[in-house]
Amino acid sequence: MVAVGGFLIGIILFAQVANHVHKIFDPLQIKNLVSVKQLFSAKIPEGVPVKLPDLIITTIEGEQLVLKELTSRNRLVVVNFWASWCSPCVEEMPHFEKINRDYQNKNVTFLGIATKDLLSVVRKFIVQKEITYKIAMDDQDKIANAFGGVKVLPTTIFIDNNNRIVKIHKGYLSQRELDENLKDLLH
Amino acid sequence: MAVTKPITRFTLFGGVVVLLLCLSVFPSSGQAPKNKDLVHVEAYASHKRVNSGKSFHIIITANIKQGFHINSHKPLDEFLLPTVLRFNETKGIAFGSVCYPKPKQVLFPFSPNHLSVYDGKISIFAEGKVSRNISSGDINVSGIFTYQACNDQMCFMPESVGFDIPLKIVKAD
Repeated sequence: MVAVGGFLIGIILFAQVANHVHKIFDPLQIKNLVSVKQLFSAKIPEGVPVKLPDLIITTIEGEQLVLKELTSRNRLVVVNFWASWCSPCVEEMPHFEKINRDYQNKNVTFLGIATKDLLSVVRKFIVQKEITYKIAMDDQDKIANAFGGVKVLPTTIFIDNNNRIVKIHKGYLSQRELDENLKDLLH
Repeated sequence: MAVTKPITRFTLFGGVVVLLLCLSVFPSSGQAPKNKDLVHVEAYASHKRVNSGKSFHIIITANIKQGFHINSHKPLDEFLLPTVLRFNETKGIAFGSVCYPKPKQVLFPFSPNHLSVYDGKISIFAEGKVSRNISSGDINVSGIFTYQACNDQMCFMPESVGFDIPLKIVKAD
Protein backbone atom coordinates (compact mmCIF):
# COMPACT_ATOMS: atom_id res chain seq x y z
CA MET A 1 0.00 0.00 0.00
CA VAL A 2 2.78 2.41 0.95
CA ALA A 3 4.64 1.61 -2.24
CA VAL A 4 1.52 2.15 -4.41
CA GLY A 5 0.75 5.41 -2.60
CA GLY A 6 4.31 6.59 -3.02
CA PHE A 7 4.24 5.65 -6.69
CA LEU A 8 1.00 7.63 -7.28
CA ILE A 9 2.32 10.71 -5.42
CA GLY A 10 5.49 10.42 -7.48
CA ILE A 11 3.50 10.41 -10.74
CA ILE A 12 1.45 13.47 -9.63
CA LEU A 13 4.59 15.38 -8.61
CA PHE A 14 6.35 14.47 -11.85
CA ALA A 15 3.32 15.56 -13.92
CA GLN A 16 3.17 18.93 -12.16
CA VAL A 17 6.87 19.58 -12.62
CA ALA A 18 6.74 18.46 -16.25
CA ASN A 19 3.75 20.73 -16.85
CA HIS A 20 5.57 23.80 -15.47
CA VAL A 21 8.82 22.96 -17.24
CA HIS A 22 6.96 22.46 -20.54
CA LYS A 23 5.21 25.83 -20.21
CA ILE A 24 8.38 27.70 -19.31
CA PHE A 25 10.53 26.06 -21.96
CA ASP A 26 8.07 26.04 -24.84
CA PRO A 27 10.26 26.12 -27.97
CA LEU A 28 8.02 28.78 -29.50
CA GLN A 29 8.90 31.14 -26.69
CA ILE A 30 12.56 30.23 -26.69
CA LYS A 31 12.77 30.95 -30.43
CA ASN A 32 12.26 34.67 -29.95
CA LEU A 33 14.06 35.20 -26.70
CA VAL A 34 17.63 35.81 -25.83
CA SER A 35 17.81 35.91 -22.03
CA VAL A 36 16.42 33.99 -19.07
CA LYS A 37 14.76 37.22 -17.82
CA GLN A 38 12.93 37.65 -21.10
CA LEU A 39 12.03 33.96 -21.10
CA PHE A 40 10.15 34.31 -17.82
CA SER A 41 8.59 37.71 -18.62
CA ALA A 42 7.15 36.36 -21.88
CA LYS A 43 5.64 33.28 -20.24
CA ILE A 44 2.11 32.79 -21.53
CA PRO A 45 -0.27 32.88 -18.53
CA GLU A 46 -2.24 29.82 -17.48
CA GLY A 47 -5.66 29.47 -19.14
CA VAL A 48 -4.45 31.00 -22.38
CA PRO A 49 -4.64 28.55 -25.26
CA VAL A 50 -1.27 28.45 -27.01
CA LYS A 51 -2.94 27.08 -30.14
CA LEU A 52 -6.09 29.06 -30.85
CA PRO A 53 -9.48 27.47 -31.55
CA ASP A 54 -11.30 28.15 -34.80
CA LEU A 55 -12.73 31.63 -34.49
CA ILE A 56 -14.78 33.78 -36.84
CA ILE A 57 -14.52 37.50 -36.16
CA THR A 58 -16.96 39.96 -37.74
CA THR A 59 -15.58 43.44 -38.24
CA ILE A 60 -17.71 46.54 -37.73
CA GLU A 61 -17.80 46.81 -41.53
CA GLY A 62 -19.51 43.38 -41.64
CA GLU A 63 -16.51 41.49 -43.00
CA GLN A 64 -16.17 37.95 -41.63
CA LEU A 65 -12.61 36.97 -40.78
CA VAL A 66 -11.73 33.34 -40.08
CA LEU A 67 -8.79 33.68 -37.71
CA LYS A 68 -7.18 30.43 -38.88
CA GLU A 69 -7.25 31.62 -42.50
CA LEU A 70 -6.01 35.06 -41.50
CA THR A 71 -3.06 33.62 -39.60
CA SER A 72 -2.18 31.14 -42.36
CA ARG A 73 -2.09 34.00 -44.92
CA ASN A 74 0.18 36.16 -42.74
CA ARG A 75 3.51 35.75 -40.99
CA LEU A 76 2.07 37.47 -37.96
CA VAL A 77 -1.39 38.60 -36.83
CA VAL A 78 -1.46 41.23 -34.10
CA VAL A 79 -4.70 41.32 -32.11
CA ASN A 80 -5.11 44.38 -29.90
CA PHE A 81 -7.89 44.40 -27.27
CA TRP A 82 -8.80 48.01 -26.58
CA ALA A 83 -11.61 50.38 -25.62
CA SER A 84 -12.41 53.97 -26.45
CA TRP A 85 -12.56 54.68 -22.68
CA CYS A 86 -9.03 53.33 -22.06
CA SER A 87 -6.43 56.13 -22.26
CA PRO A 88 -3.33 53.92 -22.77
CA CYS A 89 -5.22 52.06 -25.55
CA VAL A 90 -6.14 55.31 -27.26
CA GLU A 91 -2.57 56.60 -27.05
CA GLU A 92 -1.05 53.44 -28.56
CA MET A 93 -3.49 53.18 -31.48
CA PRO A 94 -1.62 55.66 -33.70
CA HIS A 95 1.45 53.39 -33.27
CA PHE A 96 -0.57 50.44 -34.61
CA GLU A 97 -1.84 52.60 -37.44
CA LYS A 98 1.69 53.63 -38.44
CA ILE A 99 3.08 50.10 -38.11
CA ASN A 100 0.11 48.76 -40.07
CA ARG A 101 1.15 50.97 -42.98
CA ASP A 102 4.89 50.25 -42.57
CA TYR A 103 4.40 46.47 -42.41
CA GLN A 104 1.80 46.18 -45.18
CA ASN A 105 4.24 44.37 -47.47
CA LYS A 106 5.66 42.17 -44.71
CA ASN A 107 2.57 39.99 -44.23
CA VAL A 108 1.66 41.42 -40.84
CA THR A 109 -2.02 42.08 -40.13
CA PHE A 110 -3.47 44.18 -37.32
CA LEU A 111 -6.86 43.61 -35.78
CA GLY A 112 -8.42 45.78 -33.08
CA ILE A 113 -11.02 44.24 -30.77
CA ALA A 114 -13.20 46.84 -29.04
CA THR A 115 -14.04 45.60 -25.55
CA LYS A 116 -16.97 46.71 -23.34
CA ASP A 117 -17.76 49.48 -25.77
CA LEU A 118 -20.69 50.74 -27.83
CA LEU A 119 -20.70 50.36 -31.61
CA SER A 120 -21.83 53.97 -32.13
CA VAL A 121 -18.98 55.22 -29.90
CA VAL A 122 -16.42 52.97 -31.60
CA ARG A 123 -17.50 54.18 -35.06
CA LYS A 124 -17.21 57.81 -33.97
CA PHE A 125 -13.85 57.12 -32.33
CA ILE A 126 -12.16 55.44 -35.30
CA VAL A 127 -13.30 58.20 -37.65
CA GLN A 128 -12.02 60.86 -35.26
CA LYS A 129 -8.68 59.08 -34.73
CA GLU A 130 -8.34 58.06 -38.43
CA ILE A 131 -7.89 54.35 -37.69
CA THR A 132 -7.83 52.28 -40.90
CA TYR A 133 -6.99 48.76 -39.72
CA LYS A 134 -9.80 46.28 -39.10
CA ILE A 135 -11.88 46.69 -35.94
CA ALA A 136 -14.36 44.22 -34.43
CA MET A 137 -16.67 44.44 -31.42
CA ASP A 138 -16.57 41.99 -28.53
CA ASP A 139 -19.58 42.87 -26.36
CA GLN A 140 -20.10 39.35 -25.03
CA ASP A 141 -16.39 38.56 -24.45
CA LYS A 142 -16.59 35.73 -27.01
CA ILE A 143 -13.34 36.73 -28.69
CA ALA A 144 -11.62 37.50 -25.37
CA ASN A 145 -12.66 34.09 -24.00
CA ALA A 146 -11.20 32.35 -27.04
CA PHE A 147 -7.89 33.93 -26.02
CA GLY A 148 -8.28 32.70 -22.42
CA GLY A 149 -9.94 35.91 -21.16
CA VAL A 150 -8.79 39.53 -21.22
CA LYS A 151 -8.76 41.27 -17.83
CA VAL A 152 -6.82 44.44 -18.62
CA LEU A 153 -6.64 46.84 -21.53
CA PRO A 154 -4.73 47.24 -23.70
CA THR A 155 -3.77 43.62 -24.24
CA THR A 156 -1.86 42.84 -27.41
CA ILE A 157 -1.54 39.27 -28.66
CA PHE A 158 0.88 38.20 -31.38
CA ILE A 159 -0.15 35.09 -33.36
CA ASP A 160 2.09 33.24 -35.81
CA ASN A 161 1.01 31.62 -39.07
CA ASN A 162 0.42 28.29 -37.32
CA ASN A 163 -2.41 29.92 -35.36
CA ARG A 164 -0.31 29.87 -32.19
CA ILE A 165 0.08 32.68 -29.66
CA VAL A 166 3.75 33.62 -29.55
CA LYS A 167 3.57 36.66 -27.28
CA ILE A 168 1.13 38.51 -25.06
CA HIS A 169 1.75 42.08 -23.93
CA LYS A 170 -0.44 43.58 -21.22
CA GLY A 171 -0.43 47.37 -21.02
CA TYR A 172 0.70 50.29 -23.15
CA LEU A 173 3.11 49.66 -26.02
CA SER A 174 5.23 52.55 -27.21
CA GLN A 175 6.08 52.89 -30.89
CA ARG A 176 9.61 51.65 -30.17
CA GLU A 177 8.42 48.65 -28.11
CA LEU A 178 5.91 47.65 -30.77
CA ASP A 179 8.52 47.96 -33.50
CA GLU A 180 11.04 45.93 -31.48
CA ASN A 181 8.47 43.22 -30.78
CA LEU A 182 7.63 42.89 -34.46
CA LYS A 183 11.26 42.84 -35.58
CA ASP A 184 12.02 40.24 -32.91
CA LEU A 185 9.09 38.01 -33.82
CA LEU A 186 9.64 38.31 -37.57
CA HIS A 187 13.37 37.63 -37.27
CA MET B 1 26.95 1.89 -3.22
CA ALA B 2 23.98 0.35 -1.46
CA VAL B 3 24.24 3.03 1.25
CA THR B 4 24.26 6.02 -1.10
CA LYS B 5 21.19 4.97 -3.13
CA PRO B 6 18.49 5.91 -0.54
CA ILE B 7 20.23 9.23 0.12
CA THR B 8 20.17 10.06 -3.61
CA ARG B 9 16.45 9.22 -3.79
CA PHE B 10 15.78 11.30 -0.70
CA THR B 11 17.73 14.25 -2.13
CA LEU B 12 15.87 13.98 -5.44
CA PHE B 13 12.49 13.83 -3.67
CA GLY B 14 13.45 16.83 -1.51
CA GLY B 15 14.52 18.75 -4.60
CA VAL B 16 11.21 18.03 -6.31
CA VAL B 17 9.23 19.13 -3.23
CA VAL B 18 11.23 22.39 -2.97
CA LEU B 19 10.76 23.05 -6.71
CA LEU B 20 7.01 22.41 -6.43
CA LEU B 21 6.72 24.75 -3.47
CA CYS B 22 8.59 27.48 -5.37
CA LEU B 23 6.39 27.08 -8.44
CA SER B 24 3.14 27.13 -6.50
CA VAL B 25 3.94 29.75 -3.83
CA PHE B 26 5.39 32.54 -6.00
CA PRO B 27 2.92 34.08 -8.44
CA SER B 28 4.12 35.04 -11.91
CA SER B 29 5.49 38.58 -12.12
CA GLY B 30 3.02 39.59 -14.86
CA GLN B 31 -0.04 38.87 -12.72
CA ALA B 32 -2.34 41.92 -12.55
CA PRO B 33 -4.42 42.73 -9.47
CA LYS B 34 -8.12 41.92 -9.63
CA ASN B 35 -10.45 44.77 -10.53
CA LYS B 36 -12.52 44.49 -7.34
CA ASP B 37 -9.39 44.84 -5.19
CA LEU B 38 -8.48 48.22 -6.66
CA VAL B 39 -11.18 50.39 -5.09
CA HIS B 40 -12.77 49.79 -1.70
CA VAL B 41 -16.13 51.52 -1.42
CA GLU B 42 -18.06 52.30 1.78
CA ALA B 43 -21.36 54.14 2.15
CA TYR B 44 -22.96 55.63 5.22
CA ALA B 45 -25.36 58.37 6.35
CA SER B 46 -24.73 61.29 8.70
CA HIS B 47 -27.57 60.07 10.97
CA LYS B 48 -29.01 56.66 11.73
CA ARG B 49 -32.35 58.21 12.80
CA VAL B 50 -33.82 61.05 10.77
CA ASN B 51 -36.98 63.03 11.55
CA SER B 52 -39.54 63.41 8.81
CA GLY B 53 -39.15 66.74 7.05
CA LYS B 54 -35.43 66.87 7.90
CA SER B 55 -32.30 66.49 5.80
CA PHE B 56 -29.34 64.16 6.18
CA HIS B 57 -26.09 63.57 4.32
CA ILE B 58 -24.92 60.50 2.49
CA ILE B 59 -21.18 59.94 2.29
CA ILE B 60 -19.49 57.52 -0.10
CA THR B 61 -15.80 56.89 0.49
CA ALA B 62 -13.65 55.22 -2.13
CA ASN B 63 -10.21 54.02 -1.13
CA ILE B 64 -8.18 53.67 -4.32
CA LYS B 65 -5.21 51.32 -4.21
CA GLN B 66 -1.82 53.02 -4.35
CA GLY B 67 -0.51 53.35 -7.91
CA PHE B 68 -4.02 53.35 -9.39
CA HIS B 69 -6.51 56.09 -10.22
CA ILE B 70 -10.08 56.42 -11.37
CA ASN B 71 -11.46 59.01 -13.76
CA SER B 72 -12.96 62.09 -12.15
CA HIS B 73 -16.65 62.93 -12.51
CA LYS B 74 -15.73 65.18 -15.43
CA PRO B 75 -12.91 63.59 -17.47
CA LEU B 76 -11.17 65.85 -19.95
CA ASP B 77 -11.74 63.45 -22.86
CA GLU B 78 -15.25 62.76 -24.13
CA PHE B 79 -14.61 59.00 -24.48
CA LEU B 80 -13.46 58.42 -20.90
CA LEU B 81 -15.95 57.02 -18.40
CA PRO B 82 -16.70 59.35 -15.47
CA THR B 83 -17.01 58.34 -11.82
CA VAL B 84 -20.72 58.52 -11.06
CA LEU B 85 -22.84 58.12 -7.95
CA ARG B 86 -26.51 57.30 -8.56
CA PHE B 87 -29.30 56.71 -6.08
CA ASN B 88 -32.16 54.32 -6.56
CA GLU B 89 -35.56 55.89 -6.17
CA THR B 90 -36.63 55.70 -2.54
CA LYS B 91 -40.20 56.56 -1.57
CA GLY B 92 -40.27 59.61 0.71
CA ILE B 93 -36.65 60.63 0.10
CA ALA B 94 -35.55 63.43 -2.25
CA PHE B 95 -31.87 63.42 -3.19
CA GLY B 96 -30.00 66.67 -3.81
CA SER B 97 -27.12 67.12 -6.21
CA VAL B 98 -24.01 65.00 -5.67
CA CYS B 99 -20.85 66.81 -4.56
CA TYR B 100 -17.72 65.22 -6.08
CA PRO B 101 -14.19 65.98 -4.84
CA LYS B 102 -11.82 68.25 -6.70
CA PRO B 103 -9.94 66.12 -9.24
CA LYS B 104 -6.20 66.04 -9.88
CA GLN B 105 -4.79 66.88 -13.31
CA VAL B 106 -2.11 64.24 -13.83
CA LEU B 107 0.33 63.50 -16.66
CA PHE B 108 0.94 59.80 -17.32
CA PRO B 109 3.89 58.38 -19.28
CA PHE B 110 1.65 57.11 -22.09
CA SER B 111 0.08 60.48 -22.92
CA PRO B 112 1.14 64.06 -23.60
CA ASN B 113 -2.22 65.25 -22.25
CA HIS B 114 -3.31 65.64 -18.64
CA LEU B 115 -6.01 63.36 -17.28
CA SER B 116 -8.54 64.44 -14.66
CA VAL B 117 -8.47 61.73 -11.99
CA TYR B 118 -9.02 60.78 -8.36
CA ASP B 119 -6.51 58.77 -6.36
CA GLY B 120 -5.95 57.87 -2.71
CA LYS B 121 -9.03 58.20 -0.52
CA ILE B 122 -11.94 60.27 -1.78
CA SER B 123 -15.32 61.17 -0.33
CA ILE B 124 -18.46 61.98 -2.28
CA PHE B 125 -21.36 63.72 -0.58
CA ALA B 126 -25.05 64.02 -1.32
CA GLU B 127 -27.99 65.41 0.58
CA GLY B 128 -31.20 63.50 1.22
CA LYS B 129 -34.39 65.11 2.45
CA VAL B 130 -37.08 63.10 4.17
CA SER B 131 -40.63 63.95 3.19
CA ARG B 132 -42.92 65.36 5.90
CA ASN B 133 -45.60 62.85 4.97
CA ILE B 134 -43.52 59.69 5.30
CA SER B 135 -44.56 57.27 8.03
CA SER B 136 -42.13 56.13 10.74
CA GLY B 137 -40.13 52.98 10.26
CA ASP B 138 -37.04 51.49 8.67
CA ILE B 139 -36.05 52.35 5.12
CA ASN B 140 -33.05 51.62 2.91
CA VAL B 141 -31.26 54.22 0.85
CA SER B 142 -29.55 52.41 -2.01
CA GLY B 143 -27.54 53.31 -5.07
CA ILE B 144 -24.67 52.47 -7.38
CA PHE B 145 -21.15 53.83 -7.48
CA THR B 146 -19.56 53.46 -10.92
CA TYR B 147 -15.88 53.92 -11.69
CA GLN B 148 -13.18 52.83 -14.09
CA ALA B 149 -9.67 52.30 -12.76
CA CYS B 150 -6.27 52.44 -14.46
CA ASN B 151 -2.62 52.64 -13.54
CA ASP B 152 0.15 54.25 -15.57
CA GLN B 153 0.24 51.33 -18.03
CA MET B 154 -3.18 49.70 -18.30
CA CYS B 155 -6.88 50.02 -17.54
CA PHE B 156 -9.35 47.72 -15.85
CA MET B 157 -12.95 47.07 -16.86
CA PRO B 158 -15.59 49.55 -15.63
CA GLU B 159 -17.03 48.51 -12.28
CA SER B 160 -20.31 49.25 -10.51
CA VAL B 161 -20.63 48.79 -6.76
CA GLY B 162 -24.08 48.76 -5.17
CA PHE B 163 -24.66 50.05 -1.64
CA ASP B 164 -27.44 50.02 0.97
CA ILE B 165 -27.73 52.42 3.89
CA PRO B 166 -30.35 51.54 6.53
CA LEU B 167 -32.17 54.55 8.05
CA LYS B 168 -34.78 54.83 10.79
CA ILE B 169 -37.42 57.45 10.05
CA VAL B 170 -38.97 59.09 13.09
CA LYS B 171 -42.18 61.09 12.77
CA ALA B 172 -41.53 64.68 13.84
CA ASP B 173 -43.84 66.01 16.58
